Amino acid sequence: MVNGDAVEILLVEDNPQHVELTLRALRKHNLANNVLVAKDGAEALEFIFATGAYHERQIENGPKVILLDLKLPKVDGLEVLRRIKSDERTKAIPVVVVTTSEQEQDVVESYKLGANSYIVKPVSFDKFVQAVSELGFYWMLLNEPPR
Amino acid sequence: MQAGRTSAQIKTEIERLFGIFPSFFHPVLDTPETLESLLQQALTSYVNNPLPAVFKEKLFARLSRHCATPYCLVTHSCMMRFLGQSAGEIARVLESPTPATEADLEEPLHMLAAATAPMPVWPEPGSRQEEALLLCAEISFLNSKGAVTCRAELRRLLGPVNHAHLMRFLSFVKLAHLWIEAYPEISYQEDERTMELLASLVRDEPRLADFFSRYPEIVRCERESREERLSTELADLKRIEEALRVSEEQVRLILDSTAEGIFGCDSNGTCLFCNRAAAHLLGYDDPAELLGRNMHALEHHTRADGTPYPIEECPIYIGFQKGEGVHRDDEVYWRKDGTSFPVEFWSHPIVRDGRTTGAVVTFVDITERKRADEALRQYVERLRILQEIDRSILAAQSAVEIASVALRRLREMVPTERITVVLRGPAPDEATVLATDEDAERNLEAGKRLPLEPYGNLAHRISETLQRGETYFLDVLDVPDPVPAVRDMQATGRRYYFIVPLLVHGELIGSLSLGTNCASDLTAEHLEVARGVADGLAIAVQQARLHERIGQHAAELEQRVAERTAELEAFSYSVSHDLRTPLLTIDGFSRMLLEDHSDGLDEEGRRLLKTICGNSQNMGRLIDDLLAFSRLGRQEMRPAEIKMSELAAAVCAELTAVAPERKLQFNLQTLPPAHGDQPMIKQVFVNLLANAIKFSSPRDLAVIEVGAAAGEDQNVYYVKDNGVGFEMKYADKLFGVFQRLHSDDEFAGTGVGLAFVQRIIHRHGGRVWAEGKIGEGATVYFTLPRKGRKSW
Repeated sequence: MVNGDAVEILLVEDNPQHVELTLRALRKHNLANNVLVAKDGAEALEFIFATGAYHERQIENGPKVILLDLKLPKVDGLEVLRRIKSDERTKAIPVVVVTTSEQEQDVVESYKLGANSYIVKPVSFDKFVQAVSELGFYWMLLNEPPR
Repeated sequence: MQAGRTSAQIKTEIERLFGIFPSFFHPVLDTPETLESLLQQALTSYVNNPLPAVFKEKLFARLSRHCATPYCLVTHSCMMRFLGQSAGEIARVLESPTPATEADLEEPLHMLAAATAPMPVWPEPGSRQEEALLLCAEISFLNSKGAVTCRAELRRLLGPVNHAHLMRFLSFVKLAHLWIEAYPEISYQEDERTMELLASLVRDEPRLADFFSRYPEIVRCERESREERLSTELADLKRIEEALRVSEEQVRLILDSTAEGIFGCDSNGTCLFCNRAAAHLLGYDDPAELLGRNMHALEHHTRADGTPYPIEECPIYIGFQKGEGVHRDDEVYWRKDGTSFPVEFWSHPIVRDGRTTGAVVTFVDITERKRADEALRQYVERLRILQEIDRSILAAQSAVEIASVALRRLREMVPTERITVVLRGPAPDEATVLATDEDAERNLEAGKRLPLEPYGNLAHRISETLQRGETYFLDVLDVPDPVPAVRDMQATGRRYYFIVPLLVHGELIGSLSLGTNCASDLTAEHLEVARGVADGLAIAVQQARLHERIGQHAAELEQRVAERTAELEAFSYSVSHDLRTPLLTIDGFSRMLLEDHSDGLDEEGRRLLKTICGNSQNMGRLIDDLLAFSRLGRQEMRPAEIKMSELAAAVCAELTAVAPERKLQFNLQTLPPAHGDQPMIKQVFVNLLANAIKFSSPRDLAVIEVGAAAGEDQNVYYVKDNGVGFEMKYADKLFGVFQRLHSDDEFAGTGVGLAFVQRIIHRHGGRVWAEGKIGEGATVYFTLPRKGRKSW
């Protein structure tokens, strides 16, 4: 667990193995520092909106990017996305939807709600790593996100 | 002349007057009264007749040629001699031709007319006028052809006095002829003076000797020819008369035997003649009853609607004024007994000298025809209604709509105050109003449910009758045990109901009832119409109900399909998500093991791990293909015309680009355009051409041909390769999902490519099949429509 205000990447993912694989992929591109993992939608929202366990955190302090799975316990990914994008304080945070689902309506719905990017987790880990590298959000991490 | 003279005294007188006692008087010498009378007649008409003496003798002699005995002829020829006429002149008079025909009269009459009438001076002896006069007198005397004209003309020309003299003279000649014929003993030979004169005549003109000797023969011939002529004329007359009689009889027979009434009337409309049919049609026994009556007043006095019909408005009368014929078939004639009948009549004006003098009217009773027309009209109307009901069925309208259409049409044809259609059900002891008249009481409207129980036995009786296919006649005032519901019906004031069954294959599904207060308004034909409509209606309603039921069924099915589809999509989602999730983990963790702990594994361990990775990736592909395949069935199609040649060429180019290591030869023929969803058809080409490339990989040069044959509705396209081919007995398996004829070692793939092709082609309404032989390549054919269909 990292300091809430120093978090650069929020990874919302309920499957621990996928968390591990994702972190490994990020690590391969030296992006694994200051990653916070939320195991469900509710926890993700608490972090993002600085409530509950994260109430001491400043909303304005990030994260710089959110990797969001859609199929989540408690509050599902699309709901989390909707809440982020409908709040003035958080709507500028880039959200990359990362999911195993290829369901067309998910893709369409995600973009409608304001997702900045969308990647389908390939079955092959190699391809997953490649997909992460192609996300092209390095600059987001290096620069201040637009307000 | 003194009365009561003796014969001797008279004889003396005669001898004094004539110089002799002519043989003419001998037969009555012993009867002084007769002798006296004969003498007086001779004196008055002949001797003292003021006509010129020579003319009298000439005429006497000439007329006597027609007498059977020669006495007068010879005597008066001699008298001519006595009066100084030459023998030649006498012969000429005697030999002058006897008039035979009317034409012979023309010239003499014309000649006489040239003289001023009345004739002032008697014509000169021997003149042509005298001759003409002689001829005319002869014609009058003989009463031969033209005698009538001749007499009238003579009367005019001669003046009354001379004409009377001439007639008197002719009468005496007639008398003389009868006289001498009656007494053959009278002979000229007895008269000495005559014999002397005769001798001198014959001497001067020997022709006369011959003439006199042949005289009896001449007279006989003359008579015979005249009689013959007369009898011929008589026969002619008789023939003409007979012909006239026959012709008249035929006309009468025709007039009387024709079925059409025929009568003729004058310009006032008074009946001049009338045939038997006319009398009978108008209710009279004898045509004579109509003669002299005014026909308009008799049979045309009132219009069909009972209003008076003044003659000034009668088309016959009006046509008559204009001299025009008239034809009408929309009026009535009235019979003697005051009844009327629809009539068709024709009036023809009779025009004489440019003036209409009357009219002939022909007429027929068209009651039967009108009835037939009416029956036909009703029949056509019934057909129209039934057709309309049929159309309603085709238009798949609801039972309620069909019933109201039928009801509306029925109302136009059947005089009734109320029509109601009820159907049995929904409960067994219930009926439901399907349709009723707009002007019906508000207590009965479409959709209202009527329990039958309150009607008690009546409902039973009606139901039983209807079940037998019969019409139930209900008089609400004549129900034996009126239950309250029946009393309610009585209270509406409507008394009679004709209840017609609605039967479908013997099953009573409802009834159609016609309510009226006047049962006699409804004829058997009306009920027939109602039954026809009820029969059609029953079927239509049943159909509509079935249709509604099918509609409900279809809606249910659609609902169920929608549910299943939703389930399937949920399933797909879970396959997509849940099956892939562990696969990613398997692959990822195997990879991590290889990367992080490679040193701890031997070669065999690493091979096993790689196999795990390969298979998990393989399974991922299978899942992806399966999902894509299932999505294909739901994907919306946007059909349009596709330029197949261009599409095939584009796909070939793309595939060539991703297989740079292969030597490929594409033979692309010109392909006719097709109608379909372009992205899908592109997928077809991708799959077929990729297969062709894949299965021809053992060849150094892959030869791939794309061709087509245009058809009437569908074009046939094919993709042919020179690859490894297949055994025809497995041809059907090619198109099954995940069906493969080769191992993965030989040719990679999941086995959905051709299943994809088949699914797309089938969705386009086409067919797909393959031909091939091991080692000799394969050809896949598919068909696509040339033109768009109405729906996909």
